[in-house]
Amino acid sequence: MNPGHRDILTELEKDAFKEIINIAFGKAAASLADIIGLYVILSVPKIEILQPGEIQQFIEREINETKGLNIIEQYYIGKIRGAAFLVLSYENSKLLLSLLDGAEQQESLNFSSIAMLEQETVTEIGNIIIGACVSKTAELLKDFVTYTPPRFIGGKFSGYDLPQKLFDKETYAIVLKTLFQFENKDISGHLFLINSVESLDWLKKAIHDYMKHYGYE
Amino acid sequence: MDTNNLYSTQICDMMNIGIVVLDKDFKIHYWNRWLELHSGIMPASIVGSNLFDFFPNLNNPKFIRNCKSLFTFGNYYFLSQKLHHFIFPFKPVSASEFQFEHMQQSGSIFPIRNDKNEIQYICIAVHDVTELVAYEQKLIEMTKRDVLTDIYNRRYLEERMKDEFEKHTRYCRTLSLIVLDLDHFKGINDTCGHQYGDYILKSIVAVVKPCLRTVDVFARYGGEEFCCLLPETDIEAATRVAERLKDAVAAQEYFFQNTLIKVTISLGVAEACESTRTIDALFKNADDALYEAKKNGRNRVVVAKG
Repeated sequence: MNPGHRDILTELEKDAFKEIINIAFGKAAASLADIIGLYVILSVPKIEILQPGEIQQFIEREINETKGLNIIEQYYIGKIRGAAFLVLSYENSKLLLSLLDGAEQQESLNFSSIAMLEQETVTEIGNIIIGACVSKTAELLKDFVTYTPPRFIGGKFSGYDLPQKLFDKETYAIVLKTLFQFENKDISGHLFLINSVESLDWLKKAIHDYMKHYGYE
Repeated sequence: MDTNNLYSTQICDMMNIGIVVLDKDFKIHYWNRWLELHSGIMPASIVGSNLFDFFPNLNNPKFIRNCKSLFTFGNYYFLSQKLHHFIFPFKPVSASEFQFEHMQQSGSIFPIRNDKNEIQYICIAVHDVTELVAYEQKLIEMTKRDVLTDIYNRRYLEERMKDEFEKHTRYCRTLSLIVLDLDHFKGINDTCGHQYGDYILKSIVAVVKPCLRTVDVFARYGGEEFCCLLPETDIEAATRVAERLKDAVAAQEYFFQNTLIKVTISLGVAEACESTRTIDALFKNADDALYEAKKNGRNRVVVAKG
C-alpha cells in the first residue's frame, strides 16, 4: 500500500476504525470517572485523512478560534504513533482549576503565580486525558505506546509545525478529532490525535482483525 | 542473570538519577544507589515498605490520582520542579546551594510492564536540578537590579508601577510616587570625576534606603534620577517621606579630597487620583513637580497639584 494516497483507508476500514476509536474513547471516559474521578464526556470522533500541510488549517477550522488558546502537545510512540493536541480556551483553562479538590488548593499556595498554577493544571489534566484516549485506542489495537513529556503551548495554534521526524510531507496522516466536556462543569475543549501512517499495513491488519472478531468480515 | 538484566541493574545504580519502583499498593520494590546516597536509607531497610511510611509528603490526592492514571492508562506523569520543588525531601548536595532547604528536583513516573504487557509496576525517576534553579533565580534577580547601586532598576520599577497602579484602580488603594534627582550632579561629575560621581550615587542610596519601608520600591530610574513607589500611601504621608529624604541627604557629609561637598536632592511627589488615568500620567505629575522643585531653587519638595 502506498501511503502517498488519500484513499489509504477504504470507507469500510474508516468506519471500523471510527468504531474502534469510539469504543476506546468510551472506555477512556469510563476509566477516567472510575479511577480518577474525572467525569468527561467525549463526543463521537471525527476522522480525516489529511496531508501534514493541511492539518493546521483543519485544526483552526475545527476549533473556530485561533487566539487565546492553551494547547497541550504530547507525542506518543508505539505501533501507532503521532502527536496529540488538547486545545482549551483561556477561559476554560481558568475554570479547570475548580476541578481540583480542596487538598490541592493548599498546595497551590506554593505557586509564585496563578498563571503558572493554571498552566500546570492544564498540563496535568491534558496529560491524563491524552493518556487515557491514546492508551485505550492502542489497547483495542493490541498495541501499547510510550509518551513524551506533555508540552504547554500558550497563545495560538497557527505557525506551529508538526515534527518532521513523525510526519513525512509526502504522506498522509489520520487525524482524529473529539470534543470533550467535563460533566456538570461548563468546560469543554478539543482533542486532536494526528497519527502517522508509517505503520499503515499494521494498522490495516489491526482494523481487519477487529472486524473479523466482531463478525464484520 | 541474563546479560540484559546485568546491564540494567548496573546502569540503574550508576546513573545520576534516583530510581524507585513501586507496585499498585505503593510498596517499594527497588531503591537505587542514588536514592540511598541522598536519603541515607539503605535498600534493605526500605524495600518492601510502603512509600508513604517513609515519605508522607507524597500521600496526597494529586500524586495518588496520577499514579492510578499510570496503572490504568500507562501514560507518564511529570513532576516539574516549578510545581513541586521536590519529590523526596533531601538536603541539597553542595553548601553553595544553601539558599534551598531541600534539593530541587524534577521527576517523571512511568509504567513498567510484565511479559504479558500488563502494567505491574511504576517507576519514579528523580533528577537533581538545584544548580539549574539557583542559576535561574540568580538571573531573574539580576534582571531586577541596577549594577552600580544594587537597588531596583528601571525595568523592575516599571513592572511594579504597572502592578501597583492596577491594584490602585481595581481596589481603590492609595498609591504615591516620589521622583528625586541629585542637584548639580553634572558639576560633581565634571569637577570630581565620574568615579566620585558613582560614589555619590551610592552614598545617596545608602542614605535614602533606610528611610523607606520594605514594601516601597526604590529604584534608579536612570542617571541621577531615582523613584520611590509608595503603595498604600496618601499624598500627605508621601510628602512627609519626601521631606525626610531631602533632610537626610542634606545632613550627610560628603568629602572630596578632604573638602566638604554639599549634596542635595530635589523631589516631586504625586498621588494617583481620579484624574491620573494611567501610570504614565502619575509619573508625569511627579516629574513635573520635580521640575518645579528644580526651578524654584532645588533642595526642596514640590507636591503635584492633584
